[in-house]
Amino acid sequence: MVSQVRAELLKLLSLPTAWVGLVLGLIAAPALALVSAGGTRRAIENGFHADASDAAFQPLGIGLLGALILGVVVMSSEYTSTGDDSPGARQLQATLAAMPRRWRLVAAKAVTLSLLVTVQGTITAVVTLALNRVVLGDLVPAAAPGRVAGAVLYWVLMGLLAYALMLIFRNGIVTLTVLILNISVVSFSYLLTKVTPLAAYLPDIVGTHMFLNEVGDVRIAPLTAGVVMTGWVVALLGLGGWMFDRRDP
Amino acid sequence: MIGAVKAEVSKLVTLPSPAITVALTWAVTVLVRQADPPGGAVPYSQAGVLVLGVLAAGHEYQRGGQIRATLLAVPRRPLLFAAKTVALLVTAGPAVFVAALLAGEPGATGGLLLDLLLAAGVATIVRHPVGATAVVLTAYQIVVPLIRNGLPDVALPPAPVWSAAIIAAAAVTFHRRDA
Repeated sequence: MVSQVRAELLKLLSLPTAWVGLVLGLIAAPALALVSAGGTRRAIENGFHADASDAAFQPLGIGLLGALILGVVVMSSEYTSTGDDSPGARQLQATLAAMPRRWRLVAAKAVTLSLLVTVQGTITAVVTLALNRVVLGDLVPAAAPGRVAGAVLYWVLMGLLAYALMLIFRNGIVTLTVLILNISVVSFSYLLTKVTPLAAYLPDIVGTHMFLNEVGDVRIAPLTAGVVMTGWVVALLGLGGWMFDRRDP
Repeated sequence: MIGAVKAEVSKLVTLPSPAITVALTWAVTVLVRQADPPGGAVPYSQAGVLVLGVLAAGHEYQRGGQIRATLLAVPRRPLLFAAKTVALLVTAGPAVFVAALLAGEPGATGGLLLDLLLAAGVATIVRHPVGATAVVLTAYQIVVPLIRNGLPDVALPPAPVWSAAIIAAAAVTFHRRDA
């Protein structure tokens, strides 16, 4: 298993698109914290945030994009054809020749992705929160370590969610469209919460309760939120892995 | 020119992925309109239109390198680029108009067509459909709203300027670069 994770890590880190995801994830949230400092300061002073500590964590919800790209690339790279002249040949066939046990391959990729996103998320969260303290001063309270861990876990789980959707759809465009729309202002999940309160338990909405105190009208304890989101991700990974196990490469 | 446009139209009409994208866009627009979102249903149709533009221009660069066969048949690149743009407008125009009708704002068709051309331009420059999707969706749904809300002092050029700039950049790169 260790050598398989190493192989996957080597493959992933040699892809230019993966580096786009890595670097974008690392710089987007701190950059956003910097450029929106004025707006955030005004929002806090005008009492727009019932809980000012949330304002410091908000940029992390968008920097997440980097983790999503990593989650997509880890699988979509396998479905890219190896050359223009051999459109039928995919990287996946070579990978499966080397690692014929498909469930182990699914697991190795999940472990690789989790490791990478944990490192990326931790660095980003610490840098963003420290920057917020610098630019906003005492307007935002110091971040509790538990909430930082919750934010990092949210990144990892969203990366794994993107990976699970890739396993199911085998198409980067579908996965990216769904996920990018859902972290943007026109989120489907958020729209659904207006229709039914149950939508607050959709994976991408419920997970934010791990590190934000005010999300919509529903309050969910961080631990419950973590358990529900993990449940979603495990279930979707299970479904994706099962489909991957059965389908022709 | 007419022959080149006809060829491009038949390519667009016979590919499954643009047809699926159009069907999904219509379905999502109708569903979202039932929920009556605060910003209207157009931003959701817009996402579909952007993907449509990316696929229409990007399919040539997917596996198999279709673009080289295309250039063998129509070697004059400015002509081919113009034919592609006309063909995209002719085929996707009615579909986009229907999407705008379904969203309840037929007046949004013009703006959506500009978005469509911009997405096609980005895909021509990036030559990678998945990457181009990530770029246009992030720009439209995350970066621009953020800049509008977070930095109200920054003046953004209007949509036609953006589309024209991207299309011009795409035309130049398409003309000069190795296929």
